[in-house]
Amino acid sequence: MNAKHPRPGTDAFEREWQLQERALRDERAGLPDDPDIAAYRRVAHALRQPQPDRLPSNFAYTVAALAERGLRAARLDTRLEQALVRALIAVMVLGALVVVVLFGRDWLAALDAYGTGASGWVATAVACVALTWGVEGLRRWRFSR
Amino acid sequence: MSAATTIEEDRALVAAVLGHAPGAFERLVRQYQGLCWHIVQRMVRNPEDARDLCQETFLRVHQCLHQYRGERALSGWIGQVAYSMAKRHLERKRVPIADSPEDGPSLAESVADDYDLEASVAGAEIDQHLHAAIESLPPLQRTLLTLYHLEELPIGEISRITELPENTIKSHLFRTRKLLRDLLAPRMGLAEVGAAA
Repeated sequence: MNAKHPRPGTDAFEREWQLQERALRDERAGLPDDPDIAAYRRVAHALRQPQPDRLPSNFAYTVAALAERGLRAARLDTRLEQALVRALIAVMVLGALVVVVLFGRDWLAALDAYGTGASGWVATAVACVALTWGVEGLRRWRFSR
Repeated sequence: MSAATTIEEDRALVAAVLGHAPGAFERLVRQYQGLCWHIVQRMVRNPEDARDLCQETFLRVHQCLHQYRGERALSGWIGQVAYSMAKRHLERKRVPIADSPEDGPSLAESVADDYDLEASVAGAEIDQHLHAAIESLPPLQRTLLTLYHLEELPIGEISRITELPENTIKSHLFRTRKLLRDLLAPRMGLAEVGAAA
């Protein structure tokens, strides 16, 4: 540690810190100069001088316009993304329906080979799942409106 | 000054921005652009870089404003964003941000290398050279002095902005103010203080 800089927490540090703080308070309050803290007072005065603001006069307007444009672009991206997801789901559901229509009879026949009523139980399970999804979808749709 | 706004006013302004009230974000920028400029300009010094970083700061603020919980002053929250943007900029450019408060002579050397305050003449020139000495301080020290003296932020708030411990900030402030005082003292006919401490 440099001998010129007392360690924080020591009496020397606290004494000097209090002088610095008094100079700051006096400068803020505009009190008359005190010779004991004249140099600190001058430092405090210099540090209170505002730096010239070199931001253009329309800075706030420009930044707000940029932010709004970014937000609109993000919203557009989100809408596009949501539309694509919905289209994808619709294609998949349609594909599944086509497959069921084409091969459903064969599947039922294969299920009935395991025993009487097997296809009925599978149809019941599928109906339960479809009902759950349907109710949940309806609830979300109503909530979103 | 931004410090004069209350938390309630901050919350109302943020709610207006998040509710897309016309002109609300522009009002927010106008209210805090001075603080942002003081932090960023003190850190990076180059005016063009400082302008770009101020713009990036407010765009980031706009993007993340929903994360502001209204538990502390908005000035501190925006100051934190501005400080971290400027810090990252300096890190990318490999500019050292601070001298450690425990490293004795390097801070004084960094100022003295740039210029000799004692060689200046009295009066207004002392102030001019004092400002030049402040400008030649490392970015962190310049910023801490500005936040404490010019923006009048308490050490606790500066600690949140810079994510430095309060004692470290106090130590930086102490050392830097003492250094500037010691540079001035001979010109003002005063003795250096604390040499024997």
